[in-house]
Amino acid sequence: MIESKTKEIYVGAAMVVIALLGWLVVIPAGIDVPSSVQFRALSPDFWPYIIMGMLGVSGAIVFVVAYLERKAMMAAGNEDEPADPEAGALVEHPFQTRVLRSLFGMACLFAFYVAIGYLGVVVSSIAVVLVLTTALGQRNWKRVVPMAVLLPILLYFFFVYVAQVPMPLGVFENYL
Amino acid sequence: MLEHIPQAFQLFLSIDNLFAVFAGVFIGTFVGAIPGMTTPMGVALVLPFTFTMQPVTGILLLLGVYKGGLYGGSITAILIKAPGTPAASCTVLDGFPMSQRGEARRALDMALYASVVADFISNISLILFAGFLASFALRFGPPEFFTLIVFSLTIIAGVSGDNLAKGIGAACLGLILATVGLDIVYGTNRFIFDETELMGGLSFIPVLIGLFAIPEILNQFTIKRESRVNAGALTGMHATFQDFKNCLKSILRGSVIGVILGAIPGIGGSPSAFLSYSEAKRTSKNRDNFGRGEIEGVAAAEAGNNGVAGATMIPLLALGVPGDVITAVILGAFMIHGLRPGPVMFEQNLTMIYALFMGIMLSSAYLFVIGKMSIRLISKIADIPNTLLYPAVLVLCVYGGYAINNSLFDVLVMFVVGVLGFVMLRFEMPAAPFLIAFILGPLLEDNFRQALLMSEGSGAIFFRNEICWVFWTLTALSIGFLIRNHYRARHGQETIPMAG
Repeated sequence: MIESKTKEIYVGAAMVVIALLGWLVVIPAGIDVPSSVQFRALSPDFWPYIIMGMLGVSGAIVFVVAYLERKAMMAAGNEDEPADPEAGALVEHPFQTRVLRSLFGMACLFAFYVAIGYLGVVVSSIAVVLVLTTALGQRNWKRVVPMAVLLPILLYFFFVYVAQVPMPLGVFENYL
Repeated sequence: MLEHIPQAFQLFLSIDNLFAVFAGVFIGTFVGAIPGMTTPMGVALVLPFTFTMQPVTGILLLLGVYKGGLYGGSITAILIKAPGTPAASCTVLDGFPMSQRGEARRALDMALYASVVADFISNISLILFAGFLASFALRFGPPEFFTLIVFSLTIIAGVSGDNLAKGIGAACLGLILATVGLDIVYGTNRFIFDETELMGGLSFIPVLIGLFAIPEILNQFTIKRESRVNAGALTGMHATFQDFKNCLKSILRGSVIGVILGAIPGIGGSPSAFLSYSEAKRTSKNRDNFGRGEIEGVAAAEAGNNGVAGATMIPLLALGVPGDVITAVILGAFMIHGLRPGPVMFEQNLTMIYALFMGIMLSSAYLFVIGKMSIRLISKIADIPNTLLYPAVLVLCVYGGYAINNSLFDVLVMFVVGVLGFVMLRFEMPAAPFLIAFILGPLLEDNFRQALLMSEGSGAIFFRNEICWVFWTLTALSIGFLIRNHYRARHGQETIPMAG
C-alpha cells in the first residue's frame, strides 16, 4: 500500500509539472491567437488553459491526498508485505529488469515504425513477430514461424485486395 | 415512420450484414474469453476492417463484437477463474465453484441462456426508448447539448477506478490531445508546430488502438512468468429446462437492472452484475448456497451483465453521447463513416436506425447459436500463450493504424500514444476517461463556442431553459454521488464496484 501511495505522489507531481509546462510554455508557443477574438471564451487558447488548470488542480489533489495517506500509513507502522509469488496469476520481473525490458519493447516499436518505411509492412512485420516472440520467451518455432510469416501476408492481401487499401512495401515494392 | 420499416428491411437484408453480425458476435466471444484481452481492445482491432464496408455493415460488426465480448468473458470466468471482462468477475463467484464440482457445462449453459434473455430484453428496451428520447432531444440547441455533454463527462467518474482525481487527470490529457489541429472558429494553429499532418487533428483510431492495445503489448515485457489456475474440464451435464425455469425470475430481474443501469451513462456492466447478483441472493430460496456454486448466482450475474448491452446504446443513438467506453468507441466508428448519432440521425437516417435495430435483434439469436456451438472450442483459447498472442496483436494494430489514412504518421501517433498509455497503465491511471474525453472534447468545445456566438458572449445562455437546468442539476447530483462513493471506497466502506 505504501508503494502504491508513493506511486500516486509521483503521478500527482507529474500532473502538476505537465500542467505548469502546458500553461507557461506549450500553450503560448503552440496556439496562435488572432487579434480579432471577440470574447475571451471564444479564443482558441481558452479551452486549453481551462484543461491545463483542471489537470494542475487534479494533480495537486492526487499529490496531497496520497502524501497524507502515506504519512498516516507510515505513522501507523503499516509496511508493505513481500509479494507471494504463488498468490497472483502474474509475477513481474525485478524493477530494473522491468524498466530495461520495457525500454527494449518501446525501442522495438519505433524500430518497427522506421523499418516499415524501408522494408515495407510485410517484411518488417515478419521480423518484429520473430523478435518479439523470442524476447517474450516463446521457443516453439513450429508455431512461431508459420504465424510470423502467414499473418502479415494474409493481412496484406486482405487490405490490398479486399479492402482496396494500398499498403507500403518499401524496397520490395516491385516484388509483390 | 412505419414506411421506413420495409426500406430498413431491404437495407439490412444482405449477406454482408447477416455475416457481419455473425462474425462480430463470434470474434467478440473469442476476445472476451481471452484473459487480458478486453472488449474495447477487440472493438479497436476490428474497427479498421470496417472502413470499406457499408456503414450499417461496419457498425453491426462492431456491435456484434461488443455483445459477444460481454458473454465471452464468462467462459473463462467459469472455467479458469479468470474473468475475460471486469463485469464477468461476478460470474466467478458461483461459476468457478460449479466448475470445480464438475458442473462446468451446466454453469456455461446457464450463463449463455441468461445472457441471451437479458440481451434480448435490453434490445427491446433500446428499440422502445431510443426513438422517444431522440424526439425529445430535437428541442436541443448548442447550449442544451453543452450541458448534456458536461453531464455525460461525469461518466468519467464511473470509469476512473478507485481514484477520481487520477481519472480526471487522464481525461484532461485526452481533452488536450483533442484540441490539436486547426481551430474551427478562427482557423488558426493549435499545437501543430509546423507539422502539416497534425492540421486535421489526431485520428481517432491510432489513438484508440494506441491506448488500449499497445500498452498491453508493452506490459508483457514486465511479466516474468504466468501461472495459471488449472482449467476446469468441460464436464458434467447440461443445464435443464427446470434449471432455467428456476432461475427465470432472477434472469428477468437482472435484465431490468441491466437496462436501467445501462441507460445511465457511466455505470456499465460490473455494477449491474453485482446488483443483480445481490438482489438474487437476497430473495432466493437458496441464498445460503450463493458463493458456493449456485446456478441462480451465475444466471443473475450474467443477466445483469448482459442487460446493459442494448441499453447503453440508448443515449448513444438518441442523444449522441456514449454510455460507456465501448459505446464511445462505437460513436467514433459512426463518425468515421460520416454519421453523427443523435436526434438528427433519427430524422434523416431513420431507415438506417431501423436496420441497426434489426441487426441488434439478430445478434441475440446469433449469441445463442455461437454460444451453444462453440463453448468447447472457445474454452480452449485461454490456452493461447501471450508470447504468441501479443506479437500478433501488434501486427494487427499496425495494419489497422496505417489503413485508415494510408499514413505512416498515424502509426507513429499510435506508438506514441501507446507509450503514454503504458506509462499510465504502470502508474494505475485509467485509460477509459482519456478516450471518452478525447471523443467528447471536440463536441463539448464546439457546442460551447456555438452557444456563445449565439448569445454574443453571454454565459446566461447555458441556463436559458428547463432542459439546461435539468442537466446542471443531474451533473451536480452525479458528481456529489460519485465523490461520496469514491470517498467511501477509499475508506473501506462497501460500495457497488464501478465499471472498468
